[in-house]
This record gives sequence, C-alpha cells and structure tokens, in this order.
Amino acid sequence: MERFLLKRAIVLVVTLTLVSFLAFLVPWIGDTDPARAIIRSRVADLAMDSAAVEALRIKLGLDQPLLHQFFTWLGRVFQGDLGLSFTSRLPVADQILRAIGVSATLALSALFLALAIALPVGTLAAVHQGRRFDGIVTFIAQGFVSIPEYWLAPVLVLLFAVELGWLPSAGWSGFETLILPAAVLCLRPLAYFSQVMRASMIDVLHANYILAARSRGLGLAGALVRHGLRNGIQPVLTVFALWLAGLLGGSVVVEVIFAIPGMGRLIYSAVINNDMPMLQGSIICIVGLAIVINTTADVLYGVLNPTVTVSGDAR
Amino acid sequence: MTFLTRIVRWTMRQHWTFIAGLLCGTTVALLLIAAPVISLHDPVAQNLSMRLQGPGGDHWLGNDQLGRDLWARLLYGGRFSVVVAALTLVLSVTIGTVIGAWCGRVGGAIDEFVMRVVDVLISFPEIIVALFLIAIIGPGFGTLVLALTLVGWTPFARLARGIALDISSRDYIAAAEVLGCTRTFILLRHVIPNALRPISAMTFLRFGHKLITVGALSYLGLGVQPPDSDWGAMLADARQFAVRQPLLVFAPGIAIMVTALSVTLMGQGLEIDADRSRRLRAGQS
Amino acid sequence: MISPGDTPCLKVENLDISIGDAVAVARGINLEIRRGETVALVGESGSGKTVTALSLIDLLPPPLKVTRGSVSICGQKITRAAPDALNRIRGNRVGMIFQQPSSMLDPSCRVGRQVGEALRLHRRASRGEAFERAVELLREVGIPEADRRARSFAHQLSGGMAQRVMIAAALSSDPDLLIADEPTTALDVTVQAQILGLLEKEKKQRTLSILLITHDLSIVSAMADRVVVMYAGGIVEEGPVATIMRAPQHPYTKALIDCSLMRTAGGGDLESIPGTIPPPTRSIPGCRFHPRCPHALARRQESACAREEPAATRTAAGHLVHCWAAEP
Repeated sequence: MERFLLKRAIVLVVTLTLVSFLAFLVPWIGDTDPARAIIRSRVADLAMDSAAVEALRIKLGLDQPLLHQFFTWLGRVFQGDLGLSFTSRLPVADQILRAIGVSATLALSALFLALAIALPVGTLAAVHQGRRFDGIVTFIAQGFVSIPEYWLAPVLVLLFAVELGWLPSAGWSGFETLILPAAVLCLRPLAYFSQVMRASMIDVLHANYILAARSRGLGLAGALVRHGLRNGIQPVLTVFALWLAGLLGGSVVVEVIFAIPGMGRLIYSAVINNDMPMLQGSIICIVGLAIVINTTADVLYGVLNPTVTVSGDAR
Repeated sequence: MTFLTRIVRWTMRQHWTFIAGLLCGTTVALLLIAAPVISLHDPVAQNLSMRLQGPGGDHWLGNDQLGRDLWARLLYGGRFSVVVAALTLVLSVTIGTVIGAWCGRVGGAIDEFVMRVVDVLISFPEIIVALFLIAIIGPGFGTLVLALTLVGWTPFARLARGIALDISSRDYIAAAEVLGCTRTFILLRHVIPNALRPISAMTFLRFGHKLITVGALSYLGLGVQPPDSDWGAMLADARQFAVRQPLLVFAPGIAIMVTALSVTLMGQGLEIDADRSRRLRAGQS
Repeated sequence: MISPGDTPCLKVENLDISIGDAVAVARGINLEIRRGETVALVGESGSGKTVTALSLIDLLPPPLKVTRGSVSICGQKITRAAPDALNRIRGNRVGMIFQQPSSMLDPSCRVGRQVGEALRLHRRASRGEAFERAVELLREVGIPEADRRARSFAHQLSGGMAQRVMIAAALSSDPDLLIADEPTTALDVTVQAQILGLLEKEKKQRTLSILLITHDLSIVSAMADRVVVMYAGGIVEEGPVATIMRAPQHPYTKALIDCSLMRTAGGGDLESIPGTIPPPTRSIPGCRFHPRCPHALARRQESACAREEPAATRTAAGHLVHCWAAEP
C-alpha cells in the first residue's frame, strides 16, 4: 500500500513537472507576449507604449534566459503560487481553488444523481437481460448519450425557468440553481453507468456465490443486495472516477450556459481573454486532480474488492 | 455483384438497431452530400422581410433571425461538424491502433510508458484540450481536428493493445507459428480479422461524442468561424429567439441527435456482432 | 419398509427436467431419502446429476426447468411452491454444498458473515450472535484459529478450507438434509479424505440425511447406505450399496464399477465403456443405454431395448434395475 502510494506520488510529481513545462511554454508557442497582453488588457491597443511594455518585461523577468525563467516559475508553482491573472489581477491559485470547489459540487451532484438512478436501473436491466425492459434501457441510454447539453440546457431553461417559473434560469446561489445544471450534466454519465452496471451485474448474476447465497435461503433480490451489489459496483466505481476527473473542467458548456463560476467557465473566459497565467494554472490543476482522483479510486477499489492487493504493478 | 450481395446478406443478419442506424445514418450522409442539389436556397442569403417565419412555401422549415432558409442552413451546417468528427475518428483509429498494437507486441518499458500516458490522457476532457489549443493557435478546422485527435487515440490504443496481447497468447497463433506461417500471414489471416469488429464498433460508438463536442465548441463561438456555420453555432444564434420561433432551436438539436444516435446504433449493432462472433469462435475452439 | 407417518426427508416423484419446453435433460427421476440415510447419486459427467440436485431446491438456472413430477422435502412440497416458502426451506431444512467451493463464496464478504447468514435469515439471530455462532461452527468443521479465519476473505482460503466453510454455512441452521454436489472433486486426494471424514462426523452428530452426488465410486462405498446410478438423465439402477457394489445388475453399473476397479488397481488395459454419453439434445428411443450396451440382447435389432424404455425390475430387496435383461 505504502509502496503503491509512493509510486503514484512519483508519477504525480513527474507528470506535473512535465505538464508545467508544457504549460510554461504555451505563451512562447502561441507567440503571445505576456507583457504586451497585460498592458493590452488594461488599456486600449492604440495607447500601447513600448517603454511601458519593456519596463513590465523586466519586472516580470521576461528578459532572463528561458530555462532560468522556467525553474523560477516551477519553484513558485510547487509553492502554490500560480501568478496573477492578466485580466482580474487576482492570484490565479485563489480563483482556481474557488472554481474547483464550485465545479466539484456540480460534478458530484450530477454524478451521484446518475449513480442513484443507474445502479437500480442497470441491475434490473441485467436481471431482465435480453427482454424488453433491457432493450428499452439500452435504447434510452444511447438516446441520452446523443443529446447535446447545449441543446438540452436551453430547452430545460425555457420550460422550467421561463414558462413554468419553477427554477432559476442561471446563477450559482444555493440548491435551486444546482438542479437544472445537475440534471443536464447527469444524463451522459447516467447512460454510461447504467450500461457498465448492467454488464457487471450480468456477470454477477451468473456467479456461483449468488447460487450459494440463494441455497441458504436468500431470495434473488436479497442475494443481489447482500452479495451482488458490492461486487457489481466495482467497475462502475472506476468509470465514476474517470467522469469525476473529466467533469472537473469538462463541464464548460453547462457552466457557461448556466453562468456557474466553475473551472469550465474560468478556462473558457481565460481562452476568450487570452489570460495565459490562468490557462497555465488551470491545466496544471486539472491534470494533478485527475491523477489524485484516479489514485483514490484505485485505493477505494482495493477496499471494496479484497482480492485486489493494491500495488503499482498488477492491474 | 457477388461482393455486393454478400454485404447485403451480412447486413440483413445484423441486429435491428444496426439496420435502423444504417438507414438513418446513410440518409443523413446523403442529405449532407447532396445539399447543393436539395436545398432551394442559399444558406447565407439574408432576407430580412422573412425573419423568423414559420414553415411555408418553398421555405420548408421557415427562416431564421436573419431571414435565411433554415432547411438550407441545416443541410450545409451538418457538413462541418460531421467532417471534423469523421476525420478525427479516422486519425484516432489509425494512430491509436498502430500505437496500441505496437505496444502490445513490444511490451516492456515502452509499453509501460505509453500506457501511463494513455492513463493520464484518457480521463482528459476533449473540450478542455480543444480550448487550450484554441488559446495557443487560434480557432479553426485544423485546431479542432488536432485537439480531438490528441486525446481521441487513447481508447483505441488501449483496445488494440488488449487485442494484440490477447491474440498473441492464443493457441492458434502459436500453432500457426509452429506451422511456419510468416508474421505477415498471421497478421493478415488472424490478427486483423479479429481486431476489425471491436475496433470498428468502438469507432462508431465514439462518433456521437465527437460530433457533440465539435458542436459545443461552435456553440461557444470557438469552433466553426463565420461566415461558415454548423448546428452548434445555429443553436447559439437561435437561443434568444427560442420563444418566438422554437423550430430554430429544435431543428439543429434534433439534427445532431439523430445523426449521433444513428451512428451509435450502428456501433452497438457492430458490438453485438463482435460479441457474437467472439463467442462463436470460443465455442468452436 | 417405510412405516406410515415416517415422512421421508426427500421424496422425488417422476421428475422431468427440460431445457425450455423441448429438450428433456432428465426424465422420470424417482428418489427417496429417509431420515439419517446417505444416498449416493452416481453417474458420469453429463448424466444430469447436478441439474437434478439444483432442481431439488428449485434453483435451476433458466432456461432449465422442471416440466413434470414433484419434489418434497420433509413433507413440504418444493415444486410450484411460493418463493417465500422456498426461501424458508432453503438453508433451513436443506443445505447444499458444491463442487468448486472457492467460487461459491462471495469474494468481497467476510467468511464469518456468510456462514452466519442462514442463522440471520431463519433463526432471527442478531449480527453479533450469528457471527459468534459462525466462529463456533468453523471451529466444529475443523478450521484452526476460527475466530481469525471468520474475518478473512474467500481468496485467503485453500480449496479444502473453503469447502469446510461451505459445510459450516450449510449446516448452520441444523438442516435435515444436506445435498452435496461433488463435494470433493475439485480437491486434493488427502483433503478429500478429510472432507469426507468431516461429513461422516457431522452426520453422526446430527440426524442428517445426505444426498451425495459424485462420479467417484470409491467415495460411494465408504459413505453411502444406498446408491442410485444415473445415465443420460435417467436412473438405471438403485439399491443398497453392498448389493450394488458386489452384484450390479445393469450393464452400465457393471461397466462403471469395472472402470473404477481398473483405475484403483492401476494396471492392465483400461476397460472403458465404448462410445460416449449422448448429449441431452439427442433423444434415444428405448433403453437410453442400448447403443453402448455390451449385452447381447441389445445387439438384436428387433429386441425391446431399442423400442421401449425398460420399467423397474425388483431383483432383490430394495434393489431396482431398469433393464430388459434383468430377471426378478
């Protein structure tokens, strides 16, 4: 276990250093002069004063050699200092931290909602394998995957906010504003979870230990609840972790449509405003989080499934 | 002729979802290809007197907020997303399969390294990669294809590696090697036929997601650039007119859904077929 | 033999099992086990033993199902019983152990909980009581450090240990009948003897009836009181173990015993039964064994063997043979 965590920690540090280097190079590849960009974000293009640009360049250390700049920057990154946003002039790290909290709330709400529906539905589909219920569930799942959220979100807003007036149309101020975005966001994971659950429960249903449990007097439902779920849920957990990592920045469209101040919208506005420190900071954070989440999932997997001894080699 | 009948016979044997998807998908593809012939109007010709008109006359689906013919815009608008999605998939499949099969064959440190890269990339949302690339090199057709391929190859690599490992451990490959068959022969005769079905199934199953992601970027104004348009951009434009002319929102949305769903159904049909043929082969051996 | 009022522990009458509605896997099974008796159900693999065993507690995996006949355990009807009634019988009046003990244990559930499960269900035991009793039971079936083992998982046990755990689980609520489906087939020879010894011991301690399903005749003579021989889904011969082993009447039983003697003797040409057991999908007219039967009668085309199924002939007390050549 300790060895496993140590190995993963090394992977984390190495990956983050690599990603940091790539992120650091971004402005150079993109041929965006940070000093110029900062000035432009404050004053109109016409008033761009080359002396001011030069002064800022020296102040930011941009006249130093590239590698030197990188290590200075990397040192600061590992201390949690990701610099200041070009546009807001606030520390990037603070903004990202706040945004990740928001995105995590949204993502977890959507994913747990999806899980709550997918587990029973997937199990029932497995029990009715090959019959009508199973076919309908699979078809609906494929339908859900094919619905673009930038279509569903406006339609739901139109229905529930504009026409019926039940829910707010956008914003981030408590439970009510969470419902619509979570509902939109949960459809796709719901489809995946239910299909994964179905497949794994089909295996479980044919497992010998279910037969043995039934021979002890448990009904089919009882045997599935006591002995099936715990074994059947394990593959779903892996997929859950992948989705969580993906949604922590990937719910761009939903966050933009519902004006939710999460990671997705932060990155989107950073792209629109060419806010380089913000982009660099968020890419590092997202990659780091993805690794941490997947490691957590692997550890949890080991807890749920005692036959898996958590180690870096076997998987 | 015999080849054609063989294809038809094979198709008829498939699950009904495959046939439904095939019919629907082919219809969409034909409509998009034949757009210039079918549409009576120029998709960019504005006619402000016709703003937000409902269906009627030779404007089959009515007109949008600038009085442009919705049917024409729908036909032309599909071309961009579908081409980006399809091209991305072709690239992803090629790159992923080659890398994956190679890793499975070579093994060792290279394999380990590539698979760790895959682990990191596979959970990375495509839309974020696309946003970063757009920030660096600006929006456009090439950026989208590059961004979606950059992460898109990973699942194919994983699948191809798995198949390569699985196949090379099979007894009949060992038997073929003992019998003195050449590597190329084994590859052509055994490996490719076995890998073809699952990989093509995955290709079709991934299409819908790509299509929707391209649309999402266009919706955000970072995909297709004016004067060109696609379904995502049309949805973004139509949003504020949704109450006055709901068709403007429904038509592109349904177009995306039908296209994505039909290709997904084909993918599922292929998956069922792959499953069945695998089980048949397992039963025989 | 059976005095009225003494209900048999297990009574199977004219049982037919089919795949769907068409193919018969087992036909006309009659079986009776009295209190405290051990009956061995013997046959080659593919003869329908396991399917018969599962049908006794109504756990046939679909599309297999009972199409005719009835099963009752301790006077309670199993066939076409309500699911609740069945759940009250399974694990309570009848316990079952299986061929691959390791795969029969839930991999992510502690062993002790599974052993105590029947007590929780049928004796309304609390979680703590069930666990305590489970530890006692594990000790009883000869598991060292039972209180520690009760907290371990299936993959940490050897096959023999797992089978002991299964036995403890099956016996936890003191059933009247134990169905043991090839309990030692997957185990090492030395472990086999231990498990059989354990079954013997438990049988003596409780008044337990055992239905022992096996293909191994050497186990049969050591364990069973009576033997029932199955071939291709039907019973061909049954009787007291001594009679059958000494003087088998059915050609199939004879061949089976010869094969097993050859094997234990370890020398000479291995005498095998010509041909193979027919798949259940093929229905055979007449006696199901006649295509492989060495008996001269079966060779003649016009003989009854090829036309009609032989009814049971009583050759001695409690000894029934389904063969046209048998003489009463």
